[in-house]
Amino acid sequence: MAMDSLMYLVISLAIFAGLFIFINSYNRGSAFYEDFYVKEIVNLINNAGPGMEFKLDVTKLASIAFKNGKPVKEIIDVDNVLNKVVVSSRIGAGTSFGFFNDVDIVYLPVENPSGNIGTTQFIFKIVEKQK
Amino acid sequence: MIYRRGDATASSILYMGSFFIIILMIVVGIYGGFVSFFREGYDSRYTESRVLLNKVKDCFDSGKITFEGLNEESLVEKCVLNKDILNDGEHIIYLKDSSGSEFSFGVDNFRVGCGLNARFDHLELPLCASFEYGSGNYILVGSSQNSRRVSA
Repeated sequence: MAMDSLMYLVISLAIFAGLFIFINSYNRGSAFYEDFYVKEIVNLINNAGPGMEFKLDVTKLASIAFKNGKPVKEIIDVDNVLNKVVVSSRIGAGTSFGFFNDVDIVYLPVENPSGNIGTTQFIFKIVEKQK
Repeated sequence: MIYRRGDATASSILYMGSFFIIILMIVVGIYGGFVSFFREGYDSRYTESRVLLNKVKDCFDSGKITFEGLNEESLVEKCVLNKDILNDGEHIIYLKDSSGSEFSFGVDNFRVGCGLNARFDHLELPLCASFEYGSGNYILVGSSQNSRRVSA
C-alpha cells in the first residue's frame, strides 16, 4: 500500500514537472516582452517628427520569436492606416498599441548589424502622413 | 494479508501527503495561470500623457492654435494628432482659458478619473498630466490606453 502511494506520488510529480517545463518553454515571457516593446516603440514614435529615424534593438524579442517559430522579419508590424503598432513573438497572436502622432512609419529589420552575431535591430523612419 | 499497526499509519500518511501535494499543485497551477495571463503589464499611461501634453503645449506656444475658434479638426490638424486614436475612448484633452471657456476632446469623464486614487492600480483608469499658464490657461491630458491581444 505504501509502495503504491509512493509510486502514485512520484508519477504525479513527474507529470507536473513535465507540464511545468512544457508551459514554461511555450510561454517564454512572450506576452510580457510584446507588451513592453510595443509600448516603447509607440512612445518613440509619439516623440518623433517627420524626417527622424531611430534604431531599436529587439534582440530579446527576436530570440523569443525564433524559439516560437516566428520569422524575425514579422515580429513588428506598423499599420499606418489605423495608426497601430503590432508586436508578435508567437505564431497567430500579437500585441497591439495605437500611436497618436499622425505620421507614417517606414520600418525594416536589420539582423546582425555590423557583423554582431545574435543581434537584431529595427530601423524606423518617420515620414509625413500620406493622405 | 496481515496488517500491522505501523504499516497502516505510514501508508495513510503517505497517501494523505500525496493527496495534499496534488491539491497544492492544482492550486499553484491555477494561480500561476491567472498571474501569467492577468498580471499588470508595463504601464505607459503617464508617459503617453506627458508626450501628448507636450505636443499640445508646443502647439499653443508656437501659435499654431489659440483658444479662439478651437475645435477638434483644427486641434488634430495643427498639432499633427490622429483623431481616431484620440477618439478611441481612452484619451482626453481638456483646455480651459482664463475667461473660463472650455474645450474638451475625448472622454470628458476622465476629468474625474484623473483625480481618483485608484488610478495608479487600475489600468482602465487614466493617468493624466496637466499644465497651467500664469494667466489662468489650463491644459489637462490623460490616457488609459493599454495594449490589446490581437491575431497576427
